Amino acid sequence: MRTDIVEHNLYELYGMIAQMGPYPMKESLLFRSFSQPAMIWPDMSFVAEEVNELSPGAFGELAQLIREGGWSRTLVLGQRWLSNEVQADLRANGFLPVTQWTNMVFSLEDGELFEGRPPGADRSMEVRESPIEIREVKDRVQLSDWLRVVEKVLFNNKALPEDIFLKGLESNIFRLLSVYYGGKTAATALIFLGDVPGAYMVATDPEYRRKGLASALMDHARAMVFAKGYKELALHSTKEGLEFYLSLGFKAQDKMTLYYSRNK
Amino acid sequence: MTSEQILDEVTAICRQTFGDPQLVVGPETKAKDVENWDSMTNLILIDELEKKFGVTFSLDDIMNAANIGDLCKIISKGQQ
Repeated sequence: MRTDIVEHNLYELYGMIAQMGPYPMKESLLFRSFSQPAMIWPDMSFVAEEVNELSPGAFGELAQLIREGGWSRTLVLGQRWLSNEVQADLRANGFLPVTQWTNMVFSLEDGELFEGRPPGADRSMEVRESPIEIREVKDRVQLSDWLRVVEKVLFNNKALPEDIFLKGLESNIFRLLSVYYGGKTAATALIFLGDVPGAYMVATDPEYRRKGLASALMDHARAMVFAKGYKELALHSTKEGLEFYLSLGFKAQDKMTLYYSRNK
Repeated sequence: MTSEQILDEVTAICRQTFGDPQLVVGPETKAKDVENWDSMTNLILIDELEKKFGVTFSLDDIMNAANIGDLCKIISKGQQ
């Protein structure tokens, strides 16, 4: 299995969103950048997948592109790029690390968890004593509820561009899952259907935590993608989420680090 | 600088960064205890701390610091 499968998955998602516009992808020989005016998702630069080696001064060139405008100031780098020399080059060019994620993959071959399960059609399930219902987002009202939870939990209540999600749904490049608890949207996930499916924007409203919602959601997401013929589900986890995903059978690969350019 | 002086300076920078002039932080204060302390304001905080104290936080420092006390220890070590 490719060790950079989760990065590939993430970049493919960004590339497909870029094709939908109006957020064009900018490209140099070494980097790609997906940018929009607000410093919120989606907005990042990353090393072009065909690049095998970063030449000395690479981040100086990227800093220059950022200064010239139109390039995202956030940069995502896989662990394999982060030698001491590269870290020093990043710092010398004004890039500060913000956070780090662990790339994780669940492979169908890894377990018997889904044998005999019904395919991932919409269904209701009982978790502990309370009913949990998991449904795909189908209209603007449901999307609005889905976004409200994502923005609250993951984006400090900053509004996300609704058009990206509408176009993604229309283009069939991802599905949005909502977990309803007592009739209210309580947890979310974006399931990207690319070369490898990926689970993004997995969020549980703090009011509904410790009720098994995230487990039910990931269970549903896996059943859904495996029913479509996929054999894997990828995601990137925060430090806080790592134990949870390991407990569900996901395996950790390498890490990705988010840098931010303080160059103006 | 003494550890008390470092904490006083860190407190002043936290108040400015998180936009709360009355904010009180101590060694045990974590990000979840402070309103507006998210990944982006954390970055601004690190940037300001580096400028103020003339130290450099490594990637591991930033990822592993669990509270204000850890940041103060890194600053103290960097100044030695």
